[in-house]
Amino acid sequence: MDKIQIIEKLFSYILESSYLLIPLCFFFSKVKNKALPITLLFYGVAFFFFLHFYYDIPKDFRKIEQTVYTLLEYLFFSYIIWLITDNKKTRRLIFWLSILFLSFEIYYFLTSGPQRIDSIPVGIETILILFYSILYFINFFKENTQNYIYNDSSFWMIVGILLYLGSSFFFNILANHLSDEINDNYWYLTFIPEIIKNILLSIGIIIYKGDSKDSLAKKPSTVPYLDMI
Amino acid sequence: MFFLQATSKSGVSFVLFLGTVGMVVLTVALIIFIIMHQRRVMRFHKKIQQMEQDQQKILLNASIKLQEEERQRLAADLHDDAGPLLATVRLYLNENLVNQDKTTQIQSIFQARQIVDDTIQLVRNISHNLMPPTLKNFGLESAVNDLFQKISGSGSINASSRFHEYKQRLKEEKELIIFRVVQELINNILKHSNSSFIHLTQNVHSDKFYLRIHHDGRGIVQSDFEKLNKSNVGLGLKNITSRMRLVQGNISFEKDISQTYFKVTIEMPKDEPFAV
Repeated sequence: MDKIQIIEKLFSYILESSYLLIPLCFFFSKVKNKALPITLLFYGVAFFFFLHFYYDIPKDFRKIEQTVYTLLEYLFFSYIIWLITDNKKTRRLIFWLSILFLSFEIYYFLTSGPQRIDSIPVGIETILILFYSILYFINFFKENTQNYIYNDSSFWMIVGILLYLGSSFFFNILANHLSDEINDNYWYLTFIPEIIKNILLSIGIIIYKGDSKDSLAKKPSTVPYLDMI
Repeated sequence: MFFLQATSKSGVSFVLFLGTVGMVVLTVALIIFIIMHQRRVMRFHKKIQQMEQDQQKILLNASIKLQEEERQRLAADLHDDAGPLLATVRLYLNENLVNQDKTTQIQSIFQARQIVDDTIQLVRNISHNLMPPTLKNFGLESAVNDLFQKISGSGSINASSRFHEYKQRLKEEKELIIFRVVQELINNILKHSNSSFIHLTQNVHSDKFYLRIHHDGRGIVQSDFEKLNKSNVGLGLKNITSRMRLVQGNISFEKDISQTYFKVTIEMPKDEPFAV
């Protein structure tokens, strides 16, 4: 086993273990009965097993595996953002774009041939999640003026997701164009932002307080018989 | 994709390196920008909070000043009106009265009684100014209707009021506060607006008590109100603001869409019904 393989193996183990950090933090967190920590718990457990058995699955099923991986990742990320966003318009947008993405994913699965990675769906997933993250920040600034953003658990989750998707974006996009040598030597580098993401998601679970941002009480547009006309 | 396909393997790794570094830098820059921007926004909000605190101080000073003025007015009323009247009564009822003839005695007693009656009326007026009896005994609706009837009775302006939903009275102290606000607003309209009518409506909606005054004269909108509130003038408006804060209510000044009249809306939480 050469040096690169040892490093890759080491990173692979750390990455797998980092997914276990999320359920571990879930059990130490104060709020357990809310949708967000439960979703993260499922995310951590699901991806731990997914990664653990990733290379045990026969190569014939690799395409299905890739599609399911991308789809699951997208669904988890978009659902997390959907949960932490109070804005109804953003939620509706996430829902409809997710339906479009799901349709595209099915179409891509049916029409594409075997490849190293499903670059195009991964690229679209990244762009969509980055877009949702920016929407989340915009909504946060609109609705929340009392707390520092870094005191909010959702901020750390979004930062983790952003760093992970941003850093691995070009790797994923160019994966099918890379030589085997580059791929084997540098692929493990994408594990670093993924590990950081898992750590930040775990921090997010720990500091999660279960507080939802109160939407501003809206003034009734018309009060009966108050106007002269 | 054309760019990627056209690029050689070494070019691809260069694009990969540059792209990844670029994306990481962009992401980190975005996060730093967000944190910095939010800190700036928070600083701005703190500044606004400070300004609001200063504003509250101004309001408090205004309300203390108003209270002092009210006391001075009360003292002046008692000293200048009731004092001389009672002193006059004392003059009529001096010890020489017993030495006077019967007709003079009867005249003096009659005069003294007349002055005592005036004094009673004066004290009653002062007391009514402090707490209108209609408000205390019959509530806000009757007190406002009474006030509007008196204004309308003068003949110079058409004043009317309509309470749509006031079966359950507000707490006494709240009624007094709202009545004072209405009085101040009406006073301002009569003094400054030169309007031909004043119309007041009341209703309850979504657990909130609403009161709206319409008039067709010169008026102010919310921005003017806020400006006046922050300035050293407009003691009455500051007093309105501090009274509204006491009842956790809001007051808004606006011009109607038709641009023909001004609206002043008072909004405050409805009282909890008494437990049976």
